[in-house]
Amino acid sequence: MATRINIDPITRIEGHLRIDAEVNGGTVSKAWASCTMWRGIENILLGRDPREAWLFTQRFCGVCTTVHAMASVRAVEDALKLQIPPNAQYIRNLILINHALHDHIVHFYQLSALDWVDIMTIPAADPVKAASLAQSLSAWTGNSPQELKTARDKVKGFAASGQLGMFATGYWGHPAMRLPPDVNLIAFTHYLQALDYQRKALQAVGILGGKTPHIQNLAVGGVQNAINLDSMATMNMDRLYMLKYLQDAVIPFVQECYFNDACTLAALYPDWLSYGKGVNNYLAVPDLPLNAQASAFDLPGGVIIDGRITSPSTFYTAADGEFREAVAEDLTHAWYKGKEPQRPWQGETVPDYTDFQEDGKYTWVKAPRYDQRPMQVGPLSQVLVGYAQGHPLTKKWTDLALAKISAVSKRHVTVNDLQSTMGRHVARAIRCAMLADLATKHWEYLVTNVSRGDVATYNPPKFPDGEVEGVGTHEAPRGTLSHWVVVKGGRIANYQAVVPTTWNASPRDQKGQPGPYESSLLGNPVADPEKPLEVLRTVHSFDPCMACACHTFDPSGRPIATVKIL
Amino acid sequence: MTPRILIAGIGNILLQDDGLGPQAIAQLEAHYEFGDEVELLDLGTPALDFVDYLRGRDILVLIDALAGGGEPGELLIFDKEQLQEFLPDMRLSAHQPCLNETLHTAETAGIDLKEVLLVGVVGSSFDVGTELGPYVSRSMPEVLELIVEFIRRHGVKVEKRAIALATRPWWESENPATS
Repeated sequence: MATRINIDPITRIEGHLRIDAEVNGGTVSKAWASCTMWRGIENILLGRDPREAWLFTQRFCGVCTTVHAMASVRAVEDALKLQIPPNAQYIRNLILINHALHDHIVHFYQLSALDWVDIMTIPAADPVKAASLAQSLSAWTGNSPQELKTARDKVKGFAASGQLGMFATGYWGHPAMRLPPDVNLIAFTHYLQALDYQRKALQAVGILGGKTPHIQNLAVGGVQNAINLDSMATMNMDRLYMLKYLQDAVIPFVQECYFNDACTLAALYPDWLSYGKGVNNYLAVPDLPLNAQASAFDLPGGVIIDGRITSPSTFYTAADGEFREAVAEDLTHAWYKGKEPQRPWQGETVPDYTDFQEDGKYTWVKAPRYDQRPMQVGPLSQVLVGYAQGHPLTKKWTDLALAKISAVSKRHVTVNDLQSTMGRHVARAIRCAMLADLATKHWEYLVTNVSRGDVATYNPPKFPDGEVEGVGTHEAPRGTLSHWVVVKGGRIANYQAVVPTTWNASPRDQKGQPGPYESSLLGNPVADPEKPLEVLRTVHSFDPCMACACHTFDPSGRPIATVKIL
Repeated sequence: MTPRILIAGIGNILLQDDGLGPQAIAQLEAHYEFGDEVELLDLGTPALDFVDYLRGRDILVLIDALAGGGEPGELLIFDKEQLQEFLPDMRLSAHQPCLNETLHTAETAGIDLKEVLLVGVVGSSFDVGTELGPYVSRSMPEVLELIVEFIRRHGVKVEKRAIALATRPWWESENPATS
């Protein structure tokens, strides 16, 4: 007899992600992902000046501000066939890299580690033993017994006072929590350190972007950073070294602490390398352009179909025709009007709300498809696409991760095992380690180019009288983001954002093919339907971001989320 | 010692009444000059990075639209203790930003806020749009006065500008295509 569970956080006015799952004999047999929030925010751009679109798009979401700004200027530049100076590429790349470092660190430690780490076991941990274990696992310098003891005492303090604060809700003591107290203590110590390091990465974004949140330095045609090495008022060597100083602090945290923690977690929860695979078509777009033409990139893009990691199709440039032709959004199960799948440039956002109908319409998320296929996006896609192409930097960190997980778990773990819930966490750590290498590289590109006397950062845009279309892509922390713009007579005639979470949280399509969240939950164990921790693990592994909208505090003190057994 | 104060406007400027916080920051900047101890920030809709902006502060003043708890336009005030009573959300989407979670995380990170004041106005319309609705707009002067009074009570200088700066924030600039 199937049990139906429904997880629906309800504190926001418009709601967010809702998951419905049927549990049969302790595993999920059917699942639906629904976004309960209207997403017609693009409509605000119609008729506006394309040069200011990025200021609005970066307000879509409070987490992904920078990425929506970047995709927007790229979309308009693509429509105008406008190249930007190399310095502008490097400055943008450094912003994207540092933003992603911040984002991945926060996702792992603050937003998902506690799905695996039982805080309430920490008072029983031994800081000295934990320190020697941590030191045996990595070269990270933040593993002293003193540091671990401070972290343990912090939890002891919370526990003794009965004021659990932010740990008041959590599935502590859940049978699926399996780490020993010492490992939980190590993870929590790094959780606290992560708060400091993610902040440094954000400060790096601020140096280049002028401020955070909401960077101010972009422009259609480049960036607004004035470079003059002799001026105190512009970007000069002082500022560049301040940036380097911050990056140099974050890099070891990523490569020695976060990377190792993700590998260790995978090794200690090896069964989670077999749950949560879901849609095994993968999409990533190339990013971090290396020249004005954006014809070479430091992060590879491509498509993998049916998990065939050996033969990816590759598109080398964001302007490549394949991506433009392949993307369409299916509206069959989404609360919008329209029958046939729509290409984003012709896309319409006309609501058609019905209520949750599991065989009909049940979400505000459209179903993007790539050549009619559902696709998984995110760091895992990028890592698999890069690995399949033999991309050296991807291979270096992926092989290192696989070796570490294999050594600690004492089993042979391969790249195929990354197609899983835990694999998505490992892949994010791999990507983060790659980005840490690239932070230094792109800083050097910028400094070298400026030292040669090139201080150009902007090419002014010219708008034609007629109609032009453009697409701007960015491989964001949550995966492939694309903004599609139609410009007519210098004004925005249509604008659609196909965001990573739309790909991953996509509903079924006209062929009945479920989206990545929905299919990844199938076969997922659920020990206790009242406490569906395992469902959260798989959903969190995608790093969902539905919060592209409301942030209103609800003081009525209703329950914070409902888990209903139907 | 004079306390270091952050006045943070929270909300999405693209969703009508939800833009109350950023809008109030723009108004405060336009009409008042604050002592150096005070920083005004339009934080948009931050997630946990909110915590980063709390470091080194003694007092946090938040301005945010409220989804319920009263009639549209009603002004409600919460202090630190009241805010912390709300438990952190169970997160499904890992990025549901959440005020109480921010405060709890700040505490875990060792940030010691002596005082927190949330000045909220119950909103009525959260549809797509860059302008505040009538209920929230009418409450704006009261919000500004209340905050100025609060800051002055802490011995920090606040002066009304003789000539206000431009009060229309950039996102309300008229859409040239439709005007």
